[in-house]
Amino acid sequence: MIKYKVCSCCVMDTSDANIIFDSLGVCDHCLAFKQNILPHWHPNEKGAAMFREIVAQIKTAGNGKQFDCIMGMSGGLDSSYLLHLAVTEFGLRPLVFHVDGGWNTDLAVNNIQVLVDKLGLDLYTEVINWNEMRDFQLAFFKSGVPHLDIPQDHAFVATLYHFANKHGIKYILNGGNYSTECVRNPKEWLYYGTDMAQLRDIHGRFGSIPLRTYPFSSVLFHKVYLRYIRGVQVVKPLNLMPYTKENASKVLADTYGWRPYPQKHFESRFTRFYEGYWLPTRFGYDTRRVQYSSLIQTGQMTREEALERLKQPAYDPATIDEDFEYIATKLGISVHELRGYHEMPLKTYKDYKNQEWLFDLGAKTLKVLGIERAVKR
Amino acid sequence: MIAIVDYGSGNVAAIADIFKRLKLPHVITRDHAELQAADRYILPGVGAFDTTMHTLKDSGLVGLLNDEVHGQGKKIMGVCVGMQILGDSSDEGVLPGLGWIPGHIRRIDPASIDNSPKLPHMGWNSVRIKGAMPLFDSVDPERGFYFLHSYYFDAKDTESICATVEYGKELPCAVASGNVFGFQFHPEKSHSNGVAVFRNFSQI
Repeated sequence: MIKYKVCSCCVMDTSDANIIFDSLGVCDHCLAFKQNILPHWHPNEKGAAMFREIVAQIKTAGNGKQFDCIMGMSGGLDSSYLLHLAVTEFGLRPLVFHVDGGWNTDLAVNNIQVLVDKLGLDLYTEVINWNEMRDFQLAFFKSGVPHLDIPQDHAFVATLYHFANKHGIKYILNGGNYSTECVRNPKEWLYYGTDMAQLRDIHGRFGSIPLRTYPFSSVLFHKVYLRYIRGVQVVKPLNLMPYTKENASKVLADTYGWRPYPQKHFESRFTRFYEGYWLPTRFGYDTRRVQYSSLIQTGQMTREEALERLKQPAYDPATIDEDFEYIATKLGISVHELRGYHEMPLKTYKDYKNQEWLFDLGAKTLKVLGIERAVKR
Repeated sequence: MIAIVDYGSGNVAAIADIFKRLKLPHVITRDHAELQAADRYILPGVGAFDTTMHTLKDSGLVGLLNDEVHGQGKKIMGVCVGMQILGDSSDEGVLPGLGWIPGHIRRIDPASIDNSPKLPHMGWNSVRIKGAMPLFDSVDPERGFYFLHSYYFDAKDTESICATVEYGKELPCAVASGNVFGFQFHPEKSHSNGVAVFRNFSQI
C-alpha cells in the first residue's frame, strides 16, 4: 500500500500512481515545469515578437481567401479568449469552427453566440452523428476504463483536422496553453485519445453499431501527414503572451457578456459529469488537482487556496441525482444501468489493445525536438 | 438536376456533400442558365434576415427564382435563414421577405415561456410531424434534427406547418405551401434524417 502524499509545492498527490517526489517532497510535475517549460515559455515581449511574425505569415497565406486560419471553438475560456484576441488584437480572419458532440451546456451555446455575434463572424458547426457518438460513449462506459471522454475529444480534434485538410487551410489556431494547463493529466487518468488500437478495440468489444461517419484521426494523419506533407501548422498564441484565467474571464465578461464556468472543461454537460463526479468517485482521480497545480505553477493560485477548494467535491451533491438521470436518459440507458458501470471493477487502458510504446516514443521525440514540452506521462 | 443556389449565404458545400453521397445530380451555382436548367432548388442561408435578403437581392437571382418557382412550378427548399426569407417579414429586420409562404419570423421570446429556454436553440431536438408530408418519409421524428436558431417561422396559415419542435413551447420548424418547402433545422447536419429529407426532395 502506497502511503498517501501530496506535493509540497503543488497539489498533485499519490492518486497519480506514477508520481515521484524528490527529497524536499516536490513532485516530478513541478520539476518538469521548471526544467522543460519555464525556460522556453515566453509570455512577454519576446513571445509577442514571435507571434507578430507568425501573424504576418498567416495573413500572407490567407491573402485573397475568405479565411486566413481556422480555430476550434468550444465556448470554453481558452478558445473564447483566443478568438477575441485573434480578431480584435491581431486582425486575423479565422473560420470559427464548432464541433457539436451533443453535450453542449446552455452556457457554452450562449457564450459562443455572444462572441460570434459581437465580432460579426459566422459560426461553422459540424455535428457528430448522435447515434454513433452515444454508442461509442456507451462502449467506453462498458469497458470500465477512466478515459470516458475520448469519444468526444477525439471527434473534436479529428473533425477540425479533416476540415482543415479538405479545405487547404494552413494555420490552425489552438487555445492550448501552459498558463492554465502546464501540468498534464497523467496517462493513467486520461490515456492518449488518438490511440486507434485502443479506440477500435473498445468499440469493437462493446459497441453495437458500426461507426460509419464518426470522424477518426490517427496520430500519423494529424501529427505527420498534415503537418509535414500538407504543411498545416498548429499555432498556440496563448503561449506567446501574458495569459491568465482571471484577466481573460474579465475581458470576455466585460466585452461580450461571456459567463464563466465553475470548472475548466465544464462547457460540456458530459465532461461536467465525468470530471466532476465520475472520475473522482469511481477512480479517485480529481482533475482539479491537475488544473490547480497548473495555476499554482504559473502564480495564479496559492497552494493553500487549492487545498481549501479541494475539500469541496467537484460536483454539486444537490443536483447529482438529476445529472445521473440526464446522462442516463441521453445515453438511452436506465439510471440503474449507469450506476452499474460506476460500480463495476476498475479497468485501465492496459486492459485493452494499445500502442502505448509508440505514443511514448512520439511524446519523447517531440519533447527532445522541443515541439511539445508539456508532455503526458 | 438539383441546384444549390450559391448566392453568397449558407454552407453550400455541406449540402452538396450529401447529394454527392447520395449520388444525385446536383450543382452549386448562381449561373442563370444552370439555374434555369435545374428542376429543383435548395436555398441555404445563415446569419441575419436582412443581410441574407440583401445578399440574395444583390445576387440578382430573385426574379429568376420567382419565375422558375412560381411561373414554372419548380420545387424549392429553404434551409434555416433560407427558410425564414420565404416568409413576409421578420422581427430581425426591416426588409420584406420573398413572401412565398405567408408568415412572420419571430424571435423566440424566453420571457413569455414558463420553462424559459436559452437562446440560441442549438443542438438535436425531436420534432412532431403534422399530417402527411412526403419529405419526411423514413424520418425518425424522435431522433429529430439539428437546430441552430433564435427565430422561428410563425406561419399565417396553420395548414402550412408540417412539423413543430418543442423548445420552451411548440414552435413551427417546417413549412410548406405547394412547391415551396422550408426547414428551420439543418438537414445537412442531421445525418440519417437529414439525408432522408434531401433524398425525398429529389424524388417528389
